[in-house]
Parts: sequence; structure tokens; C-alpha cells
Amino acid sequence: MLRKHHLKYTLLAFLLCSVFFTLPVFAQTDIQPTVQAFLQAWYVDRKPPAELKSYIAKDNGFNLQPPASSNAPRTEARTDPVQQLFEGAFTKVPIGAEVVRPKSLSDVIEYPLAKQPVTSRAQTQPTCATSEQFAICKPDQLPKGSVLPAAQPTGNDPVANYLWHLSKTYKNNLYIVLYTTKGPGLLKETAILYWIPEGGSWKLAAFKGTNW
Amino acid sequence: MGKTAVVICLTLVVTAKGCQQSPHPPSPPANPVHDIAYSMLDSRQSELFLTYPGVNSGNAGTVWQAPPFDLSQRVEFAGGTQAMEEVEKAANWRAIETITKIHGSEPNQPSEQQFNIEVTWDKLAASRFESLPHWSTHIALLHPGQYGYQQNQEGNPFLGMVVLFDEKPSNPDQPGGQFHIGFRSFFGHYEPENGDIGNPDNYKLYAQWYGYIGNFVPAQ
Repeated sequence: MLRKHHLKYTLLAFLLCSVFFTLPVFAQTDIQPTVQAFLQAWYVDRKPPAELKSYIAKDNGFNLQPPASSNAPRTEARTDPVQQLFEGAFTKVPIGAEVVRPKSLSDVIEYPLAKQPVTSRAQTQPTCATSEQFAICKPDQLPKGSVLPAAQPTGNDPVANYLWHLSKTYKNNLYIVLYTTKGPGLLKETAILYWIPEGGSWKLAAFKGTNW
Repeated sequence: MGKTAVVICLTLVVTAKGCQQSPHPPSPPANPVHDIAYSMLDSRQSELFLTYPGVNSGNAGTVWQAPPFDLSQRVEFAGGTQAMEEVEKAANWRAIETITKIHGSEPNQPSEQQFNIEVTWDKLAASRFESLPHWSTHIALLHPGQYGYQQNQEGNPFLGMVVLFDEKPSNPDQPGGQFHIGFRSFFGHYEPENGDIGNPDNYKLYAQWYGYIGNFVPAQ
């Protein structure tokens, strides 16, 4: 009887170990605290860009040059696109106006689909890890071609080529974070963030603000 | 003979690859103008403009040229419908039934409500866009109650036309929605100009993808 139980528990332990070792090295839940801390530091605590830069990956897309040359004067901010990214999230407060400081992340960002009923279209995709503030998705949890090129780009577009590089180099270790900004003092946009593992932690490789 | 054939084949392959890599930008118009006259619209565009509220065959030219209709709306309509016409011709079907609103530069409006054309679609348009090569499903977080598809110009999910459809249209035979064109290929924040066909930088890309709008070139 005792031997039977022993065998049962050994088998159970073996099964659990098998499941554990077949899990990807970077489980989806691992990234959540990093993303949460980054967004809190950026939007709520408004940490200076120099501090936020620790979240930026070495392999990032922020220095890609726009293909069409702009006639705009090259200010200091334009020469440092990461600084421009962090500062550009906030709209300028008119002189004399009171600066409204958000109390929590839910005051400044949201993931609207978390509040909506799941439609038949959404059901065809495996679900992302969502909260009311943001969604963390693996590329295959989003419609093919929606945030990453569906096939190798054949042209010279820098963003398409960089995103293709991310999807190939970090296959199984690339996460997409989605949310929209809201509230006073913030540029209104849908944000698409690309996160990759680097040096043992999660880093931001690219940020695309859209009107999606 | 054999060597010549190999050389010809290789040349053809290289040329074809080159053509795939970067579409040739068309030559700029010889006599550029900085506005779009009503007479520059083709028959499909004129037909669509006649469906715009308040427009009829007697007043179309006047509405087109006079305030409150402005240059940014003329460029949005002419550019947007020219791009859509290219899709319609290639696929041999008509996507748009009517034009309901034309949004140009509206500085007091949020970015997602500028530079787009509101339409009623043909009832089969959504399923047809869904099956177009290189197009993909569009995530529409800022457009609650709508779903859509994106063109992915140059393989970039943020470039080219985006078409949106009402999820619960009041008339399922002519669902409402809108379409616009996305420009600017670099990482950073979104600004309304990213959807402005008349922005000089954007227009270079527009011309590369869909051709010039007649002899229109935006003023610098």
C-alpha cells in the first residue's frame, strides 16, 4: 500500500518537473512587474529621463533615422530620441496653470478592451495577459501583421526591418505591451511597446505611439 | 548562347528583386500647383464627392473651393479617395458607397479624429479588405465600437491605409466607418501630422505609394 502511494507521488513529482522544465525561460508573468514599475516611474512618478534610460535596451530602435528628411531644426531633444520619448509624453502646461499630478497608473493609462465584452473576432486570438491599465501579449496572441511584419520586408523601411529583426532574434522572448493614454497633461495616443530580455532583465526596445 | 541566357536570367532576377525592394518614386509634376481644383478629380472621385452631405451636381465645385471646406480637407479627400481607388481597381470592386465627413486639420480635436474620411461602406467591403494580400487586422483601441484592417505598406504595420468598420452598424447593408493613411516611419509619439497627406514629407511617401494627385505638390 505504502509502495503504491510512493509510486504515485514519484510519478506526480516527475510530471510536475517535466512541466516546469518545458516552460519557456521567460514566463509571461515575469515581465509584468518590470512593465508596471516602468510605467509608474514614467507617467506617475515622472522620474527624469536619465533615470528612465535604465529601462532602455541596448538593442533598441530609437536611433533609427526617418527615411524622409525633415526640415525641422535639430534641437537637443531631437538629437536624443530617448529623452524626446520620455519628455514628449506630456503636454506643455500653460504658464500659471496648475499641474495635475496623477495618483495612480489607472489615472493615466488604460487598456480599453479589458472593459469591453469579448467579441467573436477577439475570441479567435489566444488571450493576452490584461489588466485595466495595459495588456502584455506574445506576438502570436495578436493578429498576424498587426504590430510586427508578417513576412520579411523587402524594402528599406527602417522600422519594418528593425521589427522583423526583433521578431526573429527574440523569437519566444518578445512581448508587446498595449495601452492608451488618458487624462490631463498627457499626449493622447495608443502606445505599443516592444520588450526584450537583455542582461537578465526586461528592457524596452521600441515604442510606437499611434492613433489606433 | 548558354552563358548569355544565364546572364539575361540573372539580370532579370536582380532587376525584379530591385523592383520589389523599393518602388520607384514617380517624377514630380512639371507644373506644380499648391491646391487641388475640383476639375482635378476623376469621375469616381466626383461621384463620391456628390454623396457628401449638402453637395449636388449644381454646387459641387463651389462647395469644394469655398470655406468652410479648406485645403486640408481637399487634400484629404482627393488623396484618400485616389489611394482607395487604386485598391478598388486592383481588386475590381467598389469599397465605398458614400462620403459622410471629411476631416482635415482640426487642431482642437484629438489626433485620431483628424485627417480621415468617414464613409458608408459596401456591405462586402470588410470581408474583401480582410482577404487582400499583405493587409492585416488592425487593433483599434482608440476607436471603440469599430474594427478594421491595415495595408502594411513596405511591410511596416504603421504605414499605409487603415480602414475601420462599425461593429454594430445601424444599416448592415451600408456599414459606417472611416479610412485614413498612416505615414512617418520612426519610433516615438504620435502627432496628428502623421496622418496628413499634405505634409511635405508625408507627400513624398504618398506619391511613391499611390502616385501624385494630379500636379498637386504641397507648399513648403
